[in-house]
Amino acid sequence: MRDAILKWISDFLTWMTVGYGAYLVLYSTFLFVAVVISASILYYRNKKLRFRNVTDHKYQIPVTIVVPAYNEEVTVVETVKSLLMLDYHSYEIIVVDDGSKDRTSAVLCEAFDMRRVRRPVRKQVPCKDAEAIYECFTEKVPLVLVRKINGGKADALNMGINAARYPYFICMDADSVLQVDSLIRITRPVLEDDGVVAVGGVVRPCNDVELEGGRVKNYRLPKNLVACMQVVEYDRSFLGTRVLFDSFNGSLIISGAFGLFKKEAVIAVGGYDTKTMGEDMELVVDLHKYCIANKKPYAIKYATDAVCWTQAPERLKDLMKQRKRWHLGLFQTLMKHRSMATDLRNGPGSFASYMYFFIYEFLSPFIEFFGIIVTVISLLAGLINLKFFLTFTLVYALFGASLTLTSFFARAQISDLKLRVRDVFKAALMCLLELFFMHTVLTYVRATAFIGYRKKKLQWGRIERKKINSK
Amino acid sequence: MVETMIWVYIVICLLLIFFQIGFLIAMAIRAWRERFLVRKMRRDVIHQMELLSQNRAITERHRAFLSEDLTQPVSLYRYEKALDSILAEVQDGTLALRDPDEITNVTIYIRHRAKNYDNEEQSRGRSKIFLRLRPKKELIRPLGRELAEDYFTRYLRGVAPEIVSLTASYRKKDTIVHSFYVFLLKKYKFPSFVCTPELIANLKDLIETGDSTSCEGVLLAVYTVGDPALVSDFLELVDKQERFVHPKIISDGLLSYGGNPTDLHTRLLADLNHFSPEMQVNLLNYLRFRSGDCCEELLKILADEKTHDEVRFCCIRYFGKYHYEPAYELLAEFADGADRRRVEYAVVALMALRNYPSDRTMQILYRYIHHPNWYVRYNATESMEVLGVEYQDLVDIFDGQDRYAREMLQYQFDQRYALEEEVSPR
Repeated sequence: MRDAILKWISDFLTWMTVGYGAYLVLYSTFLFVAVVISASILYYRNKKLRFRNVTDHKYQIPVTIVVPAYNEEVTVVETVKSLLMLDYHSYEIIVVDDGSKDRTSAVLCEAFDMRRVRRPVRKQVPCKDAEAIYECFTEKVPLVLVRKINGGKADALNMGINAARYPYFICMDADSVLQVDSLIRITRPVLEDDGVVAVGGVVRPCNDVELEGGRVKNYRLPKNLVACMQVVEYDRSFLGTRVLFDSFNGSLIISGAFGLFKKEAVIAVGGYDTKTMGEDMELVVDLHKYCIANKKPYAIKYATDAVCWTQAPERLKDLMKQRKRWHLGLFQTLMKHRSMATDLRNGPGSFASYMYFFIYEFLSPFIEFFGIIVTVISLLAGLINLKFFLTFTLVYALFGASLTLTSFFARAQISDLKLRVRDVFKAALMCLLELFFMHTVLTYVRATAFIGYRKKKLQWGRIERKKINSK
Repeated sequence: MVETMIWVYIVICLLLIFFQIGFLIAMAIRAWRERFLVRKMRRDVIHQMELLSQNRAITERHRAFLSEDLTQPVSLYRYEKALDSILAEVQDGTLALRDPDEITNVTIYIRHRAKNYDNEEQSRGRSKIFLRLRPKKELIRPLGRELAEDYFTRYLRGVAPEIVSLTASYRKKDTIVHSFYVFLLKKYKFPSFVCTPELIANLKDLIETGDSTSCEGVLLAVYTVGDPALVSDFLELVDKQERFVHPKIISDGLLSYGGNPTDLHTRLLADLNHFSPEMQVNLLNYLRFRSGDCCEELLKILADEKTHDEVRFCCIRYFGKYHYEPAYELLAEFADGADRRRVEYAVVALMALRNYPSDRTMQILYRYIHHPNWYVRYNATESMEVLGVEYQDLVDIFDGQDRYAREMLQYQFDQRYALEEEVSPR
């Protein structure tokens, strides 16, 4: 009996280890295929750009930039100043102060000499009431500050949509800086196709990057290791999935840090969902489902050349908090829209994207966490050959790192960034470090994200803020 | 099998790493070569401009180069870069041209002898080196913007036949390259110098085969010709395609028309019925941006009940921008008819009425401040503000029960006072 149990345990461990290995191989292979396809798509897009196959920038569609802010007194003025420098003439800026406890509204009013007005706001999507509205009459574009009762980021974005006057709006974070040509680039897909309901921009960490007038003056990888590892991680996700999903209209997520939306479509789906932590993903999934259900020809695009620079958390604790929040948001959206896994009326693109997010984004921390434990036990029990294990791990690491490095170079190439030799070596090192250290830590964080998650409902994600190095 | 798989992955890893290194090196070499060749091409173009400045002709060698080399897309790309860099200097007024006669051709003969280690002569001969000595650019005064523009235009006009003759070659190439050729045509307005039937056929081809970006390039190239009939033809062709072309590409693009705008307006209005309502809207929007001389024609269109609603809205907006007294009666009727017609008529007309101050206008606006539709209310209050209504005239609304009307008016007054304060600071 005892022998039978031991044999069963041994078989179980062996199969689990083999399964885990197969999962890693499958994931690596998927990543490889994705990187190759994405690189060829980018090559084609670059050729079009090089040969000026882009819409002339003189035609501009009016856009509202909505900046939700909560306790952003350190960064909000710089952010608005950078927005006023954008190379675009038809836009307005709406900052929504979601009941900040610091001087967010006060610093804005002082910096831009804003006056209180009694502006009526038509509530087309639900949000908490406005306490006061201020307008500035001296800048090159209309600048509006709406101070409202605290209700969370989604609620603040909804207020921005209600106050917006233009047919398209951009959502962004108050600690981010848009590159000077980003509006021209993110609106191009709309000029080329009327069915575009949303366009995602590229978000890049700006830690230690020197920006001047909304342009990169001096690019370097961050000195801080946590931020540096995030740079290569962002790049891998960019080339690994975003570009690929974009090619078959399968993007399920547009970063809350930089995205353009058609106001009419967003109002039709009821705006941002105020009851979820992943309001950005939730909105995109809602748009997919709404357009498919109503048989509207639509597209959700990804503008690979529209760049937004954002502050990546520099403390591991902040990063862990951020990722925990993202993972819970992902879980809530996947659960809410679970019918996408079974209802093929949503189209094969939506099904493939949903399954990717479910298996490789949501389940992966659990699989990896469990896999690591099983592998360690199997190793200690002598069920797997140490030499084989080391070779496998080494090849896996090298493979993952070289794919990440490919993404890093591809992105530097399309963004026309001048890399220093030191940064090239640093990036290579970070690719390995990210895989072994950050990925492992974040796997643990995501696997344990559900502990006490109800309490965090509807709170703003907080990370330590620093002034952006922008002039 | 597992071992084989590991080896396969190792090979892929190594290939990826070698590819990275190779790619980086190749990019660096390509960038360097590109800079070198663009500089060379730029020197050549400047030399031709120098000849033109001395009332001499463009050389046959340069013409042959344009006709033959530029059939390669990469060469055309470099040529565009070279022209761009010259245009930047032309616009800055920093372009300096040298007198081509000051260029001294020098031939240097070098005798050479080769010896081996034992000092025995192995070979001997004579080599020729040609040098073109030119005065330093820094020593020459810039031409100034006007003169530089003149020489640059003369150069473009001079080479236009060669550039336009490339059309046969680019017509056969893929859409990206074909569109780039059209982009170059429109950027440097080559069709305004030479326009052949073959070029027109080529442009029509691209409308049918290309995407909306190509279509935009073609239209802009056609506008440079300055022929209203041709513009109308091409717009009709675009209209017939099922492909989406953003309204702004049509309405804003027409603003770059190179000929006499009045002729274009006459032609477009004459051909208006040939277009779909969507295209008619774009054309009327263009007319609104451009000129207030079409009031009579537009009033006829507005008065015609059979006209598409969107086209009529455009006409109302036109009269909102350009005051035309005969249109007032219709505008007032539309503004006052929110309950009889589509509410959009009232929304647009209430905005247009701000250009027609009268007691009747004020009565209509006053009445519609209380309308249940948000946009009707908003436009009525905004028009009232533009017409300069004072607080005391509206005191019954401010003291009344209609909160929505009160808030809208209050906002208009807040804005007015804030702007007044900006103009005359405390």
